[in-house]
Amino acid sequence: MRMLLRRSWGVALMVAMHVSAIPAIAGAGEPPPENVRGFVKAHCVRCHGEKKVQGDVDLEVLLADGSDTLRHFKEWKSAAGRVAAGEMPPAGEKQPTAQERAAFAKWPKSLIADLPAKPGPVQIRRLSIPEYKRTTESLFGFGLTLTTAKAEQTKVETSLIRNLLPPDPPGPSGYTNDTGGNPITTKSLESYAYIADVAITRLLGPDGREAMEAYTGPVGEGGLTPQHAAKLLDTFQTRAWRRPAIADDRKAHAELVRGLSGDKLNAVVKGELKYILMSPEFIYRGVLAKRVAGESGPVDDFELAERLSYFLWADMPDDELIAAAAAGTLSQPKVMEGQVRRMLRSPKARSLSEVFGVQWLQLDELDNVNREVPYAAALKGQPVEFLHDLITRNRPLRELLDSRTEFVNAYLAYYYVPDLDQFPKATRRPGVELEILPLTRIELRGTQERGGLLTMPGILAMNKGPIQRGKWVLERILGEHLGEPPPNVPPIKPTKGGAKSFREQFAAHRANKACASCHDRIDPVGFAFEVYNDGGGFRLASNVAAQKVGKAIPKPMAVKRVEDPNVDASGVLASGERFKDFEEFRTLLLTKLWPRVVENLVRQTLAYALCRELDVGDEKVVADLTARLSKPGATWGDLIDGVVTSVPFREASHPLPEVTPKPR
Amino acid sequence: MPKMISRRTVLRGACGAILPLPYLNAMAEEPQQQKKPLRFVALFKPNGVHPPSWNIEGGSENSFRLSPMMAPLADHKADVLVVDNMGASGFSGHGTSVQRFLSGRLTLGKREGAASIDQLIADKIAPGTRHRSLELTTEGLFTQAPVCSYVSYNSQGRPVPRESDPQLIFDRLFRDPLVHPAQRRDMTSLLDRVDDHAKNLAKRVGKEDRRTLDQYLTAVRETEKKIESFGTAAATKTDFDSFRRPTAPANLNEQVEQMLDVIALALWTDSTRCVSYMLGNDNSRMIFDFLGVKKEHHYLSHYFRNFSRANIEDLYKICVWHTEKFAYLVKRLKAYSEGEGRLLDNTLVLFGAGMGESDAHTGQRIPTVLAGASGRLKTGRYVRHERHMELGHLHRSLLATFGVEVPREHHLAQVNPLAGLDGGAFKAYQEAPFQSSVEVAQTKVTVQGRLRFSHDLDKANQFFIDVEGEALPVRLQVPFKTFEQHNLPYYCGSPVRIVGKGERTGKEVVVTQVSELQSLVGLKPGSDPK
Repeated sequence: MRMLLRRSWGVALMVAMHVSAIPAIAGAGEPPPENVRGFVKAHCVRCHGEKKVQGDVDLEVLLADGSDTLRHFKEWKSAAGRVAAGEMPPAGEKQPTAQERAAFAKWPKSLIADLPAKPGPVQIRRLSIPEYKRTTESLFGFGLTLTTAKAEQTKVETSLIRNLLPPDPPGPSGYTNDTGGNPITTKSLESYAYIADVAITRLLGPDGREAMEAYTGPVGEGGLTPQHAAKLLDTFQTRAWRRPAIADDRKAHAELVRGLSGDKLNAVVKGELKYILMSPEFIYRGVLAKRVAGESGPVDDFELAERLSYFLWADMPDDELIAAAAAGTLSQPKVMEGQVRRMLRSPKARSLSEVFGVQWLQLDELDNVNREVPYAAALKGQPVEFLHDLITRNRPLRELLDSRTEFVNAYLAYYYVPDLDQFPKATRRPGVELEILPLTRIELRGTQERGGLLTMPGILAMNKGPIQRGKWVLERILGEHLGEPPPNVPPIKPTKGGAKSFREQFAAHRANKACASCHDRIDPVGFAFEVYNDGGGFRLASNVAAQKVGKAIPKPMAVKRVEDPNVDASGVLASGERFKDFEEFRTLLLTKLWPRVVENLVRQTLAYALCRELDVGDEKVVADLTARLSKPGATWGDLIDGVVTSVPFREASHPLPEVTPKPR
Repeated sequence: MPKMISRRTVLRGACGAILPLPYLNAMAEEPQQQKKPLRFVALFKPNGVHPPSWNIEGGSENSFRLSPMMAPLADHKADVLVVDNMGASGFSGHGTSVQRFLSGRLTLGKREGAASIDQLIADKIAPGTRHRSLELTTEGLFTQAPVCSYVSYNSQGRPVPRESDPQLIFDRLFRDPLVHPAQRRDMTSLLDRVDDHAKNLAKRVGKEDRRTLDQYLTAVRETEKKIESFGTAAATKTDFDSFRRPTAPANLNEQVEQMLDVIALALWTDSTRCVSYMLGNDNSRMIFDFLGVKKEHHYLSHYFRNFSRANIEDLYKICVWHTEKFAYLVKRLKAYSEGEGRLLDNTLVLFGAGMGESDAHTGQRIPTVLAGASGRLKTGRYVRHERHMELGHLHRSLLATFGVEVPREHHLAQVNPLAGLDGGAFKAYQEAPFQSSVEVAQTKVTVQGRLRFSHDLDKANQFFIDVEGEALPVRLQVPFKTFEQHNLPYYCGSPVRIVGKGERTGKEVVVTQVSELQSLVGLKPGSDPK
């Protein structure tokens, strides 16, 4: 009885809080307006409600739950997008008038037009594997690697941490730093304990001397003194927990080590360090963040330091960030801007391309595109280096798709024959069959058919054929959400009969209504890439047969453009835009479709920075940033500044704690 | 008491563990009649050999000289059994040679669903040990042909993942809180402490965050429970604390010696009874810089096509190093006493490859040496079988030694064991009599005699034909294409008839083109007696 009473109290409070948290705006707490209800009943529910629920979209349920339209904002927005693009209702169904269509399409946006940006709560979130690895290694000042003989042409996971801890699956945001749905396990707890043992043993041993002295200052022949030990524990805890050790902890450390020396002191230090590393403050983020119940506002400076460092470095804040936070100045716009500039100059900013970029663009696929490690490394290195270059040199956003900068090495030479003069001289070490080569930045002059992300050989080779390429561009570049294909549909195989019969197959495919709703969008985008073959070779180049990764560097030769009547890269987008070749398609992306590309960039970056799926409270920020960054000249630095100064990044709203009245 | 001390052995090697006294006490308490289990270690040598440096030519079962590449075994000659004429295939490429080593493939294409013998042995002897088996290696995955990276296969025929870090293996065996009392105590008190701490934290946060901390607390408590339930029952009497943890190795040599130390300790403490360890992938691209070698092993192993005196010397250094590591393991196993004897007496070690000659990748005279297993193997001998025998016969014998019944569906079930390992009778190799002659008519040479490698490292890319009664040497100097097409290494050591182009000079008869090569004793790749 007592239990029941307690629970009902809690629920009542939570509900009250929830309601009061929603600002009074149009649409909230109201059912959809009459015209929307009418539209849905007339055009949608026959397939998306009543008896049939196609594509998992049940609009009837959404209509019925009219008390909080905002809760279903995502679904409504998606539906409106499909209607606006003319994809729904499908051809052959009764079509709404242009006026009805426009009204329905505009409605969800009107719901949030006046909705101010609203930050989410600070959440305790487990460090992802890349974050945990970087944090542990930064903390100790040495890498934790497994012993394996080095050899070319082999692949091996040398990180102790990545070997012992299973990789995190992507969370609802699409990124692995969104770890909420993937709780800690007994197995990983044991691994954390083992990793801590290994690192601490090394720190306290002869190999760890340099790392130790970075904490304690010079240590004499007699080993650690209690003063060293206390300093080590205080500083280690400050850095590991990402905020200064409180006075009580410092006092406790001093008392623990007082009068000890030798093995006894080492044992105490070992135990304390392990405790610090096994505590939630280390394993999770946000544990110690200040929370003022029921209030919304800027996060404290240490939380801000942590947000910045995990976004820009996938690593813990360094001493300089912590110092700025401790001084209380980090949240000042000028100070923060300076810190962000500094952080982007650091080698640690590579995580933006190696973690964020790789996950956003699914570049891990490139590990499997070639069986030779040195070739796969070249194909994957190209986009990763390119992104790193765009971000750290603050290049314009549009250069993602339109750039003359390319990263190359000898293995890729056949794709860039007109620019061979810029390739570094390759020297083979005698007796070494194939080795990983570094990539060099070149500015393309002669190679017209390359430039920007979309035409990189690896990107083209990891997505083969129009469907994979179309889907990848829609999802990764244009930010569209495509469902899974219905089961039991055989894949389309390229035919030898030439491009025409190939296209006819696609047409037949789209004649199937279930397929058409997605493939009307996917296929035309994929067709634009028909000038590139499955290996990423340019079909209209006289040397297309040779355009492959390979060991030999070609001799300089004239590469001519040849016409091939079988190559047809023209198409009509589902939204009606026509293009006659790849160049025109790319121009569309950079002009008419550009705001959609920018909106996707904003959403991807923000979701990664916040480590969570975006929600209604973020829509205003997305809309504002998209508008600002769609302007000519907007750069990658502008995007990062926009994200780190945004309300959801800088602020938090704190729910009231669940109060449990004490039984009398 | 005097007896106990007499059995005390103190090891002080480069990285050796010091034998802990408590363990000896524990052993003294054990009933003497308890039979020690027989263990199995398979040590894989990649990329074949340059045969003249490996093969034993001449000699007999009980009177033989170790070859140059076997020299490191000189101190252990009485404890090893050199088995020759293993492998009967024309070719054993890198991908098949790894499977040949422990999977007993008689012919290609018979590996589906077949476990390698180490895994069959582990199934039989592992019960009662904490770790069923260890699958170890030195390097990463060779992605061009991943199969080259595995010698152990499970009952579905899938490769068993392997590991390379001696510290990690040592820690798993000897520092796990479940087997290490001090670690267990530390872990238990640490878990208590973080449990209290996290409970306090949980009071300060909201519902969502409390759920996350609850997940943490659950993991903490489950770990506590696991340690508790494991209790002291499984805690060994051995004081693992006195085992010195390997230091971070400076090079491959240290890495391998440390791993061999760990293997010996693992066997001696009965933590595991079955180990496979690859000294490298077949096709290995490793560079043995600590031997002063700057070129890749695989490149050097193709000594014919990449011929130079320096290259073949480098290859020789690598291959001798392989034998040295085998000798190191034998030495280790001899140093640990067990029962009335040595650990080696209760361990069967198989050292070998899946490929013989390394440039043409021949599948005959595959290096194979056994050690230990006293009373079950009769060591100190050289057993060269009459004919080329596929490794499957050897595997069948080893399985029998361990009392493993081969599953009926396993391809080894149809294979006869190899005679002679236990000292029993076997048909020994004898050179068949043959007629030899050489005839030069203008540029046509017809020669009949024993084909052999050059014994001169400066001429490692040349072959000779021994012709009785011919005063001048008969030499074959042919391009790589001929070498490979006629598979010259396969016929080396046996009589052949060769027709080709060449000439007789004042110093020699030299053959530069081969149009016909025929074995005079009916040697044919793949002619293995089942």
